[in-house]
Amino acid sequence: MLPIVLPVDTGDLTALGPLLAVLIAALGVLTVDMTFEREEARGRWSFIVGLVGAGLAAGCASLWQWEAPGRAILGGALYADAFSSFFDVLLATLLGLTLVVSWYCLDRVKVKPAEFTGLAVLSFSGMFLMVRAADMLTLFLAIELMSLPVYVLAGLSAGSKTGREAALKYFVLGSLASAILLYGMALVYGVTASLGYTDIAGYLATASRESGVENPLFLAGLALMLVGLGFKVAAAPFHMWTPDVYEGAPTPVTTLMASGVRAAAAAALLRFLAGAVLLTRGHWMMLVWALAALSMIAGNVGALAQTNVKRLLAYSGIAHAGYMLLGLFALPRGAGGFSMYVAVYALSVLGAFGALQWFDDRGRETVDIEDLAGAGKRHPWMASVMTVFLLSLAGIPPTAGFAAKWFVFAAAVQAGYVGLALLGVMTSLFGAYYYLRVVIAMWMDEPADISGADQSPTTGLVLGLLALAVLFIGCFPGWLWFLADLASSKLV
Amino acid sequence: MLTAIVFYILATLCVVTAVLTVTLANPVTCALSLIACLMCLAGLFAQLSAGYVAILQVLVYAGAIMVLFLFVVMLLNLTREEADEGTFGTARALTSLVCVAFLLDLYVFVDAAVGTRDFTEALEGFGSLAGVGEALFSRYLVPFEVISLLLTAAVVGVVAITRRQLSVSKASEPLKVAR
Amino acid sequence: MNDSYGVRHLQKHIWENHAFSHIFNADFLGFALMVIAGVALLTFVLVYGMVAVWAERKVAGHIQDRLGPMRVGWHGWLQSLADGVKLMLKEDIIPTMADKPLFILAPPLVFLAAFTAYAVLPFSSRAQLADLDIGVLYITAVTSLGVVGIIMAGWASNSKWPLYGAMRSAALVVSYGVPLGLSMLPVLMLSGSLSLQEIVGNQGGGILHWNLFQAFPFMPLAFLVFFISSLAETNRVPFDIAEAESELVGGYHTEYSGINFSLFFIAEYSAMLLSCGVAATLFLGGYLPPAFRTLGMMGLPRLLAWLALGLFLLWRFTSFWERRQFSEALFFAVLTLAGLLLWRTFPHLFWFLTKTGVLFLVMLWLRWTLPRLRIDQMMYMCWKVLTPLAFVNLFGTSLWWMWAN
Repeated sequence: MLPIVLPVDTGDLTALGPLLAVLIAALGVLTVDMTFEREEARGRWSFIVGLVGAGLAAGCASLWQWEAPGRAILGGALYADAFSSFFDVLLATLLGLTLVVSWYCLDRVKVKPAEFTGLAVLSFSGMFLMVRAADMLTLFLAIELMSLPVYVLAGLSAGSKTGREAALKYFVLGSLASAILLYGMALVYGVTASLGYTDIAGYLATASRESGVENPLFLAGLALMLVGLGFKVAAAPFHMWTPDVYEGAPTPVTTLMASGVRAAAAAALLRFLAGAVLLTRGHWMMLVWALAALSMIAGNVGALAQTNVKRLLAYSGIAHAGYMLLGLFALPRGAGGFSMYVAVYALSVLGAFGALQWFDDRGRETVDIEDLAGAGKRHPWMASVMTVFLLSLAGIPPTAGFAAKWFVFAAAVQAGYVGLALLGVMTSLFGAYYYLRVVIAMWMDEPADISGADQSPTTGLVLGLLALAVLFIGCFPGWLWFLADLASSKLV
Repeated sequence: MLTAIVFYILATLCVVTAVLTVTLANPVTCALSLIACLMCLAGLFAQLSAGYVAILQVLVYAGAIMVLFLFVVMLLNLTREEADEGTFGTARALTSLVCVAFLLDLYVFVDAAVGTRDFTEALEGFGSLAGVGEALFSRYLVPFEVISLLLTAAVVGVVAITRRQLSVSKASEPLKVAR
Repeated sequence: MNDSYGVRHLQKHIWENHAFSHIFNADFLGFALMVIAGVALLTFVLVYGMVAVWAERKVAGHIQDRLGPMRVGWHGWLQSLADGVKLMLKEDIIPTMADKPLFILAPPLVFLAAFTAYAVLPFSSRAQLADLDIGVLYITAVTSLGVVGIIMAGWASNSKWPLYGAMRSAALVVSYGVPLGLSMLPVLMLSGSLSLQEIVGNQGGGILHWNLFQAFPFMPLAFLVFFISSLAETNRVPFDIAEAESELVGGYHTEYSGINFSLFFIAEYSAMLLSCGVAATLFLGGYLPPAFRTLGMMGLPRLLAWLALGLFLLWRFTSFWERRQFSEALFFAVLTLAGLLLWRTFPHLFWFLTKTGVLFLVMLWLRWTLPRLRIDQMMYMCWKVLTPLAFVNLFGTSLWWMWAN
């Protein structure tokens, strides 16, 4: 027999705790789906298994010693460090919240709860892998593992024409993005002859300028990779699919796409740029600059004209991708702000979509602003919660969104990118207009026919707590900033 | 000498079949010429002493994936008119343009890369069955396992989608699923 | 054991070390020798196939309580030859609407897929064209191309029955391919090699060391799964739904006639014999003798076997002689002498052919006993019975392997 030694150390397995918890939960949900005959029992038990998995993951992640130095494990394919733990906690929270918030909406949009839970947890296991991927191969596979279930989810309630269009668009464009990403990876590998981030960084540090940092093949590969990852975080000009897909997909799925998928993609982007190719900053900065500026402009301008809340949030998401990318400029220092922004955005947008699901009592896949008119009079509590999330997305104090924006803009200014930071501030002002349009519609207009008779109190409670958390972070942002900075500063 | 002859035969066939793959009108013939192209590639691999890669090329691509392709193409059952439609439309012209640009690109890039980097001979046992196996279970253990997860996700997704269609068609007309 | 001395020399010339690339990188002399060896192998496979066709018809006849071919030669033993000549002389009709190049290309491709795999089949410890270190994979890869030919034939015929046959074939290739591959894995696990020569070598030491009798009950199960899947691979009853003459009028080869049809025919039988050969190699000790000696039975059984054979031959010869059937006597004499010669001089070849032959007879027996499965039944069988079984089996074998080591 061949002397094959598995590169597994039992110490590594503890570092993999969150990932394993979610993986086991994913397989557990599949088992539940096989075991129970009745649809209801299936749904309930898979929901419970998914929640337990999320809880365990969050627990394992918070047990990580944050001060410990990061290291590559399992033959250099994954990292075990504070950065992954930070995002583990975030992703576990997002997973739990997505499941809870969507639970009562699934029936309305005619998605089977067991299927939704199973695919969502599988997708999240891809995200957990993604934030700790230490080489390009693992990164690519993790992205695929994350995306495949979401493609399916987007098409699950493909009864309507927009739903089918959304699913197909998402699938085709997503596959194209993956192909481009893979091609870029191939070129980078061709130059550096290594897949691991550390090895790539090492090659760039030692090779001559012509064969390393300024190698056209390498730069082309890098650009293609940025295009592929830009698709996943929905940065302009690779954002075209976002509004249609967000609108057409069932709202629970949109929630997942807007929060978890983008948070994981952003984390992977940061890890790759900071960990592997920081030395070539001079070259990819221009690209990221263009991406950021375009995203901020295209997102905010696009959102102005929207009457559909899901489309509006989609465009605002594009704008937020731009703000996030701002953090990438000031990279050695901006990493913490970037991570914090990703976390705050993901929580806020999840809350906003969750509240939207709560209001959307007829399970339509689209909700217009008019539908929310007068919500403040009928459901003052829920309307306040929604308002908090919208204000956070708009970046108005004292919400978390303001604090996050503050740190990102401050980092950009400190790094000397005043122009771009100014552009960010300007577009944020634009942004405030369309968020406030929704808020005004909710509080000032006459009530539309939202019955809200059988809305779930549990979901409302959870959303309320999330809103409180968003306010809390907005008032006391220090601790989150500290954690994000602690986690991200070691990447470089 | 003989090696060179075999190489040129294989290489020519490879290019010809590749061109046929994109130019032929009938999708089935396209797929079949792609199979031929892959077989020639396998031959080239074999010439490079990469027997394992050659076999995998035949087994996975020519044998399994292309059969699925053919199956799907035959299921779609394009009629002659549909297949011929837009034989040289804007889309095709654009695609050809992109392909040519891509080719030039590749030439420039590869030239740049080869010019600055010295390539050493592959190590003994590189690409052999044992070598691949060892790599899969040591350095690439995680990606290897993730692929199995990915396939699981794909299977689950397909089942979720088809089960839905099954239940939809069941509602409209009784569908007998025979065992 | 001085078996196939000439072949060994020839091989040594070509295969200095067993590297795949040498097929292409060998010098011209080696290339020429290779071609000669290939032609010899081709002749062997063709003759083998013809005998197999005759055997099939005889077995079919006797199972159905009739005689089968009786006219050409003793009990029709030259029937296949006559049929071959007939088919070659017949007009080769190509339908007007057929896709001509593909239509003509398909039968040779199907035959080639079956024939090329013989290159790594170990007829004896030395009579093997190429001992690849990935022999098992090679066989799997090459035989999987047969279905491409079948699809080509079905599509090119431009007729509904062939198309149905081709579609069924394409749908099934995935279904049986999975259990087929999975059932080979336990063998590879036990041998630790993919070289067929090494797999056989690991089974030396008598019948109890054959892979079939290892890791009870896992290996017998693996053999069962393998055998059933290879029935499907070779389009044999009860899995011959791609041909299904009573439903599809012959399936993918409905439109074929003359020499092209006979190519399909020969291809099917050589694929069958190949499957049997592979099964014998992987599970039944290949060319190794069962070696009764290890069972503690020294001289007596051997003596009895010789005695029985002698009495049988005596009976046959006297019978022929009395009835003045000299050609039959000659046939039997040649057969007996050839068998004895084979046994004494090439014992490996003898045992290999015997084992293959027995498995082949089982295939025939099944064909004339079982009804054909429907396509959904077959899908069910492959995906829900064979594949899980193969997985369980793989798992069990690996547990057994860990326990045994």
